[in-house]
Amino acid sequence: MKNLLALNIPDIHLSLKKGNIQVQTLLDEAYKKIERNSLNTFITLFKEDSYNKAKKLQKKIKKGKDIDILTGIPIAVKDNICVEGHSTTCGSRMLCNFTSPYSATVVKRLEDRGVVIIGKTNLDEFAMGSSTETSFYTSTKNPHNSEYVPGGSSGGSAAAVAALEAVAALGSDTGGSIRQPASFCGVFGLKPTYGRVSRYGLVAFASSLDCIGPITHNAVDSAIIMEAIAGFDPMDSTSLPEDVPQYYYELTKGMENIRIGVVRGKLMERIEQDVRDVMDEFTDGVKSTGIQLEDVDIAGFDVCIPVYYIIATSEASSNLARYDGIRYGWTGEDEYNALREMYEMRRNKGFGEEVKRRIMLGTFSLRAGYKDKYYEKAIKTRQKIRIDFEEILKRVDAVLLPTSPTLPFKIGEKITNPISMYMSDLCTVSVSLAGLPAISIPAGYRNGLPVGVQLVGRRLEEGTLLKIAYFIERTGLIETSKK
Amino acid sequence: MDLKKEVKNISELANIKIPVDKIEKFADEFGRILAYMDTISTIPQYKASDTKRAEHYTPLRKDEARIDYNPVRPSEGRYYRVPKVI
Repeated sequence: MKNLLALNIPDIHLSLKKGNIQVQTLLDEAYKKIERNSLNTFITLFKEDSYNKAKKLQKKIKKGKDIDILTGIPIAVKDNICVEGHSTTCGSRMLCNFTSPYSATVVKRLEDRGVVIIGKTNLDEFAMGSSTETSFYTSTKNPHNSEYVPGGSSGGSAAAVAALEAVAALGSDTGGSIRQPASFCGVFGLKPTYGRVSRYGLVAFASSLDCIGPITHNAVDSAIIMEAIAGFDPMDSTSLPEDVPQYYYELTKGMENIRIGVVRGKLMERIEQDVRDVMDEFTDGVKSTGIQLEDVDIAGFDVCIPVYYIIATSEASSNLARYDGIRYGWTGEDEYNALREMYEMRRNKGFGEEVKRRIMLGTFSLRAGYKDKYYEKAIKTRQKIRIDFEEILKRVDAVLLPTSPTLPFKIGEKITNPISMYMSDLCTVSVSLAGLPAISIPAGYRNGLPVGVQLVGRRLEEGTLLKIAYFIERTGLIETSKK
Repeated sequence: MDLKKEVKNISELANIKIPVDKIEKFADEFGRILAYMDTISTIPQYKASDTKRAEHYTPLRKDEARIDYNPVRPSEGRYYRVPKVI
């Protein structure tokens, strides 16, 4: 049997239950692919632990009682999410020696359901980047063309799923870090509503924006994983108390009267022609299925990048203050004479260029005399962006727009130009600022490279997005062949 | 704004030592980013009444002291062992 890891979770579950395959076979395939592909998708592999767990799970499957749908499913985890007893580097030299003392709530919830975690995936350092090039552990390559970036910051997770090295992966999304790599790698990436999924055990970047979500081959797997990881967690003070719907069970229900708003206007003028063409073809296809469409224009795209970067870097400058080489962080071997000197030297060598740039930008924005001009104004504008989205989502069930303004770019193409890199987040950051759920789904190919589109939903209505994605997937609108 | 001076000041506030030979490059990049971030000044100043009615806020948990702190580092009596600093 070929490409076991390309099957969806219910099919793998059925094969495991019937005894057609074993958990170890899935792991063999995953690790063989990781080695053969050489895409630098993983920072750490959990071979020993995962085979030990597989043996136990296989025995349980053989007994045939109460086998959860996630039992034996190999999943990768972004290396800023803690797994007890394993390193969590955040793609940084700063945490190269850090071992997680506990598991993140999302990891615990998946492991309790029988998931086998196969390793930790590469990312931009501290999730700060849109290409996975800022990782201390070198860049991940795009599985569709190894000269191109996989997007970021969850580039390792998206590339691992696209390259069939895992059935699914967890990523984190602060300003688009699940959706943009999912788009660049031709897979599904779901950013939940802020607070829907616990961040306990996720290394903080920008606490008012950070979310954890699944990256998968299809909508069914996204629904199953989302159902497993979502829900209230007393360990995360921003966790929402609302009950979690049965996303998987409800996938096929209630597509009647769905209305989608298609973003037109100023934003689309800033989107590359190839991406616009794919978006247009995709929109025509959606229309042909009978889903009602209407044009919408979202204000605030002109300023969403500065607003996002001011808020995110301000929060990062505070969150990353803990890396001082004492409580956390790389210690190095340099000599120093004073405590202050030690902090400065360790933080200079422990952090990469982009992280230092963002910490300093955040420090600048919060500085006395500048706070009103930058941070306070950004916070007020964020509320306005949120209100604008809420108004549009009163008329439509979801908003459709591109995930990225460009096709995947070449490794090295933007890394020396920070502003050009920040512009990669043009279509994703306003959704993050509004705290709304969004899913990136593959829409087509140009020049052999994938292009994704994004559906944005109402607060806590991930189920609607998954339902639409599943419906579209089943109509065959999602192109699987390259042009 | 003297960007080199500004970068030196901010690096001190952020506890990051930027090596002397890199300050110029850093200041140049920083200047370009700040110029871009300044587009925020084109946004009208919203009044509180424009922005207060976003419909959903994240509820925060009660600020209660908990006694379940479980230190990861080895302890000796009432003290925790930390790495040697200086």
